[in-house]
Amino acid sequence: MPIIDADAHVIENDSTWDYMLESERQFRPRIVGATNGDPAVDYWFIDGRLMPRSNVEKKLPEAARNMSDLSIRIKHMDELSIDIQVIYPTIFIFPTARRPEADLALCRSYNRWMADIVRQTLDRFRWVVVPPLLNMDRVAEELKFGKEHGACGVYLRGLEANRRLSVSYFFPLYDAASKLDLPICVHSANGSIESHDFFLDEPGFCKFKLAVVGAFHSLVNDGIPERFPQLRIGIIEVSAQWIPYAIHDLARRHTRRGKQLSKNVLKDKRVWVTCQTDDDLDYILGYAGEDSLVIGTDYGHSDNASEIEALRKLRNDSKIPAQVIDKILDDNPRALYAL
Amino acid sequence: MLSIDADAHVIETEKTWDYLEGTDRRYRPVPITVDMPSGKTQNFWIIGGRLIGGRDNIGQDTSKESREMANIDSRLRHMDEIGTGVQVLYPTLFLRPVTDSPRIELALCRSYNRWMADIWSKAKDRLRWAVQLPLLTMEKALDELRWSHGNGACAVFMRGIETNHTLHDPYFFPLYEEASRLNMPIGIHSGIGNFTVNEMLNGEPFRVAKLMVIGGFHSMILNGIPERFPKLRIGAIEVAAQWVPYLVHDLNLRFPKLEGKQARPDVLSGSKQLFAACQTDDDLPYVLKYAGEDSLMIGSDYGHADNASELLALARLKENGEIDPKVIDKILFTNPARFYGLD
Repeated sequence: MPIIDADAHVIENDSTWDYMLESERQFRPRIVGATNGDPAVDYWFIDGRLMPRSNVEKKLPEAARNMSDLSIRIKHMDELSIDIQVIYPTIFIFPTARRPEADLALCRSYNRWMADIVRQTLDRFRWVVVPPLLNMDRVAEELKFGKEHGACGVYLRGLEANRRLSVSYFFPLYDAASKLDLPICVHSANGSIESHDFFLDEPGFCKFKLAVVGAFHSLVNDGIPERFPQLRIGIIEVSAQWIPYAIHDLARRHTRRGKQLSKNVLKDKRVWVTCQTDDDLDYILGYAGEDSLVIGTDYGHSDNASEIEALRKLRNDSKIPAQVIDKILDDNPRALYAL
Repeated sequence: MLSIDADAHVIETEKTWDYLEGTDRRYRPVPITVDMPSGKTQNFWIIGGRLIGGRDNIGQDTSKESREMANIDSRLRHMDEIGTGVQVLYPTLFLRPVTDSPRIELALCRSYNRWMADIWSKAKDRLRWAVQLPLLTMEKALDELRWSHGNGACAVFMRGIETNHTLHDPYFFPLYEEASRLNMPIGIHSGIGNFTVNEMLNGEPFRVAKLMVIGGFHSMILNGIPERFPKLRIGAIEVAAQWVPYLVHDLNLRFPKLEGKQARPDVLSGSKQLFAACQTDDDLPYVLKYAGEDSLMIGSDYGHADNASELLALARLKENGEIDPKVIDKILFTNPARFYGLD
């Protein structure tokens, strides 16, 4: 049975931006450090803002992290018994651009870099395309490019373009994603400069995790799955332990509106959620059902959600039935990403 | 055994602002009613030139004179009917950002608090209240806190975000210090105190009212506020308790990465400082594994008609029979008594 890592990462490097058009070079990100050489000071300088480059698992070979030598990464995946990784970005965890033209340049270059990296190995690597959401009129063509080059999802953050994900601004995106059979994948991240910066000294629970939990709630509460009946939704890297709370709250709100929340909300709304091995999975499954959980390693990162052995640990812990584990490792991510 | 309603409300009226004094009277909120394009009407306050909501979340299962505190005897009789011994009163207007002017904030807080003290003076054993502080001016906030302590307040009302700071910010340390000294807990109530974040999220209730409180509670624990202020009690109010396991899991992934800290699965259940108000639809047997028997309380949200309102919540907790009667007694009395210093 193939095993799918539903949330792995690539660490961008200077070559990520080699795909910018001549007219876009002014937006090329720069790596900056302290003039005194302090290695702790390590940032991208993008569109007038600094993005940390610190969330890197240094125990992994650099060529595996930045995917400059896929043979090293594939060898490591084989050791971990992972057949396919779905690759998410690192730099776009933060709100990267203030100006639409910078946003477009960054997304276009990143997407072409990823397409180039995986083009010979689509049996092992798939990726999520990053939409230039400050340029909604360019989103559909970027999604089409991604689809034609191995992308299997659309990257979103808990807040995008200083908006909630359920507002009509994003409807053209959801329409395009539906037509291309690409799920939207809301990853632990925040695309709102104001919200991100308000929680700047906070390690990520408020600015990243709760932003995504809130996005799930607003997408479901505001009826996005019903409005876009072909759209699939992934909720990525925020664990699954929050699901009972969100469902309890949604149930109360539905009742107040004279509606009833369905028994199997996630399946009915076509929502998949990445779990973690520390989740109370036997309990969570009572809310999520067997067909809606997936799992990822957070490969390449060294943060609160990173667990390089997560997939193997899930198998070995045997806290839940073996056939459910098979679904989490293969059937469910295959359905989410239409692999 | 007496039941303590850990989260009840008052609905502010024009009388609330009769306590404005001197030049502060120019800041008196003005009630208005607007005919909306939908054909419905909405009620607002005009405060400092801004249109502020908070006049439409009205629980029709309570009488007007009770929820507006126009007739204290009526409120007390209703409490008797529903089996409530003591109510801890939280505001309605201040569940949202009201002003960013320190002068207006001070004037409104002073008037609200004096109105509340007046109410308390008519039923000292049964109506206690959470003080609304002018947090844009810390020195004034501390003065108001000290005054309220002698006038029936048993908690400090805070929201998930206050002013332009997260709740673990050192800006609030003088408040936490003084609240500890006065034996007054911090009740982080469903709500938000920051215009920018509120407007960016378009006032979306789950995010601004619920998740921001959970985030504030999380950040206070992660940043060691309970250890820094070992006599301070902190409660999360009106956000249910079903999130507690999620919070404990997340904290325990983060603790080991912090210098000098280690995983603490009993971060709530083993704490004498952390509390949460639950709801009857929470899966309490599961939540109790994480929260422990000594951390949960319950409130009715008396006076409101929102997602958390359940007038008979305290009675239903007993009827549900999901958990040990001994634990129910703790939730209904022992724990809120300890949290609010009513023991």
